[in-house]
Amino acid sequence: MTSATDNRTTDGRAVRFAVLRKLVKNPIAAVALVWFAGVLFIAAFAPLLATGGPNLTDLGAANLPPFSDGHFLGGDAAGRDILDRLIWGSRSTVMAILIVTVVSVAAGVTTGLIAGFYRGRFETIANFLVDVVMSLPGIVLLIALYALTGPNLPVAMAVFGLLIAPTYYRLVRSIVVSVRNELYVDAARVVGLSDLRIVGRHVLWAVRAPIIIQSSFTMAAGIGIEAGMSFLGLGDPTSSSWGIMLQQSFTSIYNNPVAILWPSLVISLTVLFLILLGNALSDVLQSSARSKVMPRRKRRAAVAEAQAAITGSPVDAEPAELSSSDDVLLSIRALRVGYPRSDGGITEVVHGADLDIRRGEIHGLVGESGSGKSQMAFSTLGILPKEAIILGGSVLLDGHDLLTDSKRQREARGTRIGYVPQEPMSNLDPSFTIGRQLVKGLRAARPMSKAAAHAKLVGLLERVGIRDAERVMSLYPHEISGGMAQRVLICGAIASDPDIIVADEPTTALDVTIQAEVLEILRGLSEERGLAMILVTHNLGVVADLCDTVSVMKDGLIVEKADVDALFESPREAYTQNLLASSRSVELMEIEQ
Amino acid sequence: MLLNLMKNLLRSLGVLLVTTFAGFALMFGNATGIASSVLGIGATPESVQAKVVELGLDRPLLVQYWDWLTSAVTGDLGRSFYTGQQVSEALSQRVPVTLSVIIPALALTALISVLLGVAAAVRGGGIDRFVQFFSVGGTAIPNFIIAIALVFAFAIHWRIFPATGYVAFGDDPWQWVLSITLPMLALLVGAVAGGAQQFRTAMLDTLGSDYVRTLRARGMKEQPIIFQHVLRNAAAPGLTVVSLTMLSLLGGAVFIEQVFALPGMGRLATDAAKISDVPMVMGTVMVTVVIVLVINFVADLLIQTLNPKARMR
Amino acid sequence: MRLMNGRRLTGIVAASATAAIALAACSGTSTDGPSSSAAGSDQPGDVAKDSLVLAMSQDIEGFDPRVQPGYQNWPADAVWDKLVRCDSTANLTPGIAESWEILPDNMGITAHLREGLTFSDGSVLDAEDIKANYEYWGAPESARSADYADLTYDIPDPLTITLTWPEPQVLINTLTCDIPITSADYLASGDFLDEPLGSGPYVIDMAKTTVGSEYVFTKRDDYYDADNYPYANLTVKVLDNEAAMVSALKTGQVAGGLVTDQSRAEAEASGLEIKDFQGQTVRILLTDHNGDVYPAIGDVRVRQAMNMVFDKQAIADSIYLGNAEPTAQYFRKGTDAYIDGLEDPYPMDIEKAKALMAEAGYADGFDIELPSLDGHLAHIMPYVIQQLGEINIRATEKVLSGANAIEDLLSGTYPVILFELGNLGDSTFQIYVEDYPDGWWNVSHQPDEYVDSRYEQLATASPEEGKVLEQEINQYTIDNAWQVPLVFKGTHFAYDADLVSVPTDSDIEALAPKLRDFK
Repeated sequence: MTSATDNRTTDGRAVRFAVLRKLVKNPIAAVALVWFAGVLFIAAFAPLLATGGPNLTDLGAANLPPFSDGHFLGGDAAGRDILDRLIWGSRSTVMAILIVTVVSVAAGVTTGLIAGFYRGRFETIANFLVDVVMSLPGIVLLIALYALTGPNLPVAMAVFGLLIAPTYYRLVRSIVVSVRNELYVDAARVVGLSDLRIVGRHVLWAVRAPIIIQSSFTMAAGIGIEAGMSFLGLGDPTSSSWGIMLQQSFTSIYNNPVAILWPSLVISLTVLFLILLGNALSDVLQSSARSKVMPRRKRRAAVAEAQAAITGSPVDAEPAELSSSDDVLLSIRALRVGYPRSDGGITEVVHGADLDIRRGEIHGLVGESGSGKSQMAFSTLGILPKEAIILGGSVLLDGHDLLTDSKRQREARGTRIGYVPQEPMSNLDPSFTIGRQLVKGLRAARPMSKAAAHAKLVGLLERVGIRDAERVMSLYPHEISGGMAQRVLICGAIASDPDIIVADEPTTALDVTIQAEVLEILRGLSEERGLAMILVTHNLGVVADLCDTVSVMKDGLIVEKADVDALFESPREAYTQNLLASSRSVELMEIEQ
Repeated sequence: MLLNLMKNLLRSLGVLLVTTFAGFALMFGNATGIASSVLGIGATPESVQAKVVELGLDRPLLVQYWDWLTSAVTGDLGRSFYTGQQVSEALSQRVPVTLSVIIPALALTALISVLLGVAAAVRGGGIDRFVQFFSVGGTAIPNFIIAIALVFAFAIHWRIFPATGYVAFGDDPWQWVLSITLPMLALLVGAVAGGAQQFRTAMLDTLGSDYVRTLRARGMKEQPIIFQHVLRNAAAPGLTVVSLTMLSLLGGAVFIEQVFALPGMGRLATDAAKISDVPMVMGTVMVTVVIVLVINFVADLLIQTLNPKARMR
Repeated sequence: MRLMNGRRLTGIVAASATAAIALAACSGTSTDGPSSSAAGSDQPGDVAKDSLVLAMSQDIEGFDPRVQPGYQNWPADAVWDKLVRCDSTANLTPGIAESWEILPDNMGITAHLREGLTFSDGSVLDAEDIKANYEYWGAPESARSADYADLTYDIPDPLTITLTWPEPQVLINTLTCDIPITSADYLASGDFLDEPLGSGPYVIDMAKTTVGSEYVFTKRDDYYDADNYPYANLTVKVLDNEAAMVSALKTGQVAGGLVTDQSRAEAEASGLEIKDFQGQTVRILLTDHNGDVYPAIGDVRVRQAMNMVFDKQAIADSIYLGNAEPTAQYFRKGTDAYIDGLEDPYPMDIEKAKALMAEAGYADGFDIELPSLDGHLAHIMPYVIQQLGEINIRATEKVLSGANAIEDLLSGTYPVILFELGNLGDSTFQIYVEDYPDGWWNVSHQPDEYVDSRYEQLATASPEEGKVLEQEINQYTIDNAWQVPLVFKGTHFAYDADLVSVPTDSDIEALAPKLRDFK
């Protein structure tokens, strides 16, 4: 355990640098970062940068236009240098956003941590208080406060911090609730670490990224509210904060309109860059952030580049081996799939893989997670994520390339190729009954009356072992079990009588007993209907049980392909041997338990 | 579901109690200040003391709050300390003004946000970049600056809309439309900027979900998937966005009413809060909180009706 | 005599600080000559106009007749008639009373009411109503009870009333004039907070009125002076945001309203007529003559030094954009107290000022707090603070806000006050307010033998004697540097000449036209 935590902390420093490096690579984030750093710098060194104090008055400079001698941005109505005041004002602004951020983080994060970690009564009360704060008309409260304390920026900002603390509370609480149940927290408990240390080491670690991201938005809000309060005449007129400058320039809006421009500009730009910074941070820090869809033009260029690379490469010059083509139903040739990176490049995840499925054959596609096997499966159906890019190769159904003919691919989906997904519950639309979504899917593939579709589906449901099929048709997904949901999904896949089924880890999410039943159903259906099947799995047991042929995938390449018996008896590749060995030891462990 | 509703209702009442009490407590403790300010300059200490008693400001906080609460329940919100106007009378004039700016703004925000959000999520490309750009820009510029820019452009330069003021719908529907257009637009920019972005995220989350992929794999066409399945499932987060938008519109109205000299609730609250006009502040706080709670309640109700899981219970 | 109701901060900003002074004081109508009493019968009807829309830059304080400020309070002018009115120099002119006599030694007034007057609810106006209203002002919870509590009333017949004070009153005119008269029954009913009732030229239309935003009135054709109010309908909008005010004026949404120094040029450039007033003297009040709060201020040399550090011409040109005029006196030009041809005894001379400071033993200066209300002095305050710094007076601005702001401002805690303070058409009244110990702008309330004795003599002095006394007081306060007068400035009433004209001035505060000035 301790070694794990140590790794974490050493990682931490590296991660921080990596984050910075990534941020700087993103041009918008870099500009935002420079701007923000600039504001901090100016605030810190205001006395050196300004030519005079914030209230240095020269009546001769009153309402001077910008770019006048000695007054770069001109003078305000009181004869003060606008640029100097902006420089001094950055101090108020920095102070304001510091107070808002510190107060809201302190209040929101602590309560969120406690509520999420201990739950119980504290959480109930905290949730209620959050509701209260979120329903309060914040501006009115700030004004009432003003009547009490007068213009007092720190107090106003602290109160505003409390008013927006619920954002942090909600964020942190939900993360803590989920982290709390994670293995490593349990392990830490077992080892006997105190709650404080667990929170310090694990939980805080988990919430840091969202807090940092949220804080850049909080700062933006802080600047906005300072300007707003000043606009309402509730600011401190003796200060030179940007909000006050804006408000004071409004009083001479007709006399010196350009003076409004400067504070408006710095306020808007600072807020803008803080928001952009927050967005960029969330892209970089949250690994879950999906990679961006590439603009069409860029996409085309990337594909062209990748294809140029292939033709140049000697390895791929030799034609891929073709099996006797007459009974081949589906054939994947030299498939290459990539995803755009945030730096504009492309990461290739499938590097030119070949796969042939004969009629009636159950073909296992095995490999570790991340080996690219699901990408292969999705490619055949044309349901790769939007941002994925097919860099080359073909998917031939009856000899026609589906990748170059999107119409044919659309027509093949559902009618020729069926799909059985991995996670049964998340693959059913929670808002529709089982019946409605099955009927819709079937009718989309094979035009027929609703009644006919319904009857057919009820029959199929019974075939896969659902007894009161009529009732199940009227249920919502959350009302059925995972095993039943998987049967429903299998029905959805075969209802339109496809020739081939792509099953992506169809049993992984299920209990062991139900796994066996589902495998049995798949085998039965395949035999009855002469269905071919691509079975994507990491479970060699399943492969041995069900498949005729096996392809082993590693790092985006098919490394070995053989009949199932041959593979298990004499694996050629070292990788396959390892895979077999490790799966056996897992099985042994399961037996021992 | 009924139980849920009851729970929600109770919770809302609790929130109302706590918020109004918080408002009361915030203004408590300045009795002589308020009294002498009500009386005006030159009032003797005796008359100030008499006024403190007359306004009931000498009693303990809880007693004052209880009194206010029990009268408020019967619909009597008291009179302004300063002008003597009935608070309920003032509210009945001011609330409609604010609502007639906010509600169209909310409706338009919802509509435009959904359109932009859907277009950005589904089409991607140029429109997506526009939405992202607009979201960031629209949130960055304070709404009162937008409002003043709008006045300069559409009221002073091209005299299309009135620069200030409000005309009641009952007096002249067309003038009403003209009088609320610019204030509404000023609010709309920020609200749509936030709304479109959030709705886009909700759409993308739903579009990326497993069941959408499965529906596609079954051969369903894009259009029915988006309009029947994705929109339906993005509706719940969308409604949350709408209720949050309402909250920010109410806050924004305070500034907008200032620029356009609209006789709305925001200005009433600002003016009253500046001088600790307790009954008036409490009236506006209460109405605002009630509006927020009602919106949240309705949004919650809709979300529950949309969500089969909650509907069953 | 205690006036002014300071409740609303918004009401005090900008020019209004002046209003602070004269609030309850007089408003009046110089045109209101005998002709007005000739109950508008045979005047040609072609002067009648349809409607007038005006904008106030601050709201009124509700409908309590006791708390009606004079500053641009056209709603009050519209609804309530007065027993007698004060004109722009505090002379009495007829109102409900057709004629009157001031009692010997300024002890009170006997007024003779017009016959057949009615309130807008149809009830008859008689002497009992007058009495009820003055009593209402003298009630214990009235801010001005000190001024009216000791009044005695004599009503020999329903159209005659005598008000008598226990002792002579210097400001007898100011005390009697401009008390809004509502009906005795209505006062007793307590409904007067919801809707104003009066015998004035207009009736409020509550259905069209939004309190705090827009007040709508229709004319009473049976009003005795109806011809002096040519508009059949009157709307007064509240535009307390300067940008909104100018936008509304430019786009013709309102016919007239006050604009600030900063917007005056723009208003003029967009074709509006401007009526400039000069009702304010920007100055620093130094009321702590004995040095109770700031010992240094107790030294006349320090106060004189403070007079010598300001470039008044530059203030007028740069800060007030030419809409101001340097001055060495704080009384309005043309008033009794104003000394014609007085040369500034304290021209700007920082070296001399430093020498005076050193002589007084304050070469190293001292600290003071300068109060301000919501930063409405934002344009001039930085310069004043900077210039005081030249003689090592370290001034900091103290912003007063909230319900207590005005109370604090006048509490005496801050005996050095920079303000754009009003000057009055009646300098006697201004002496009372700023120099007499009871005056509310004399925030330290310190007696001074020389000034007080002369002020008290004014009660019985002839006009000529009075003028001498007042000028003596003026000269004395200048010699002793009780104030640092900087510039005369004023408000600017912008109006659309096609819609309305403003041929007369009736405002004793010289801040805005009165309702009767609009033709």
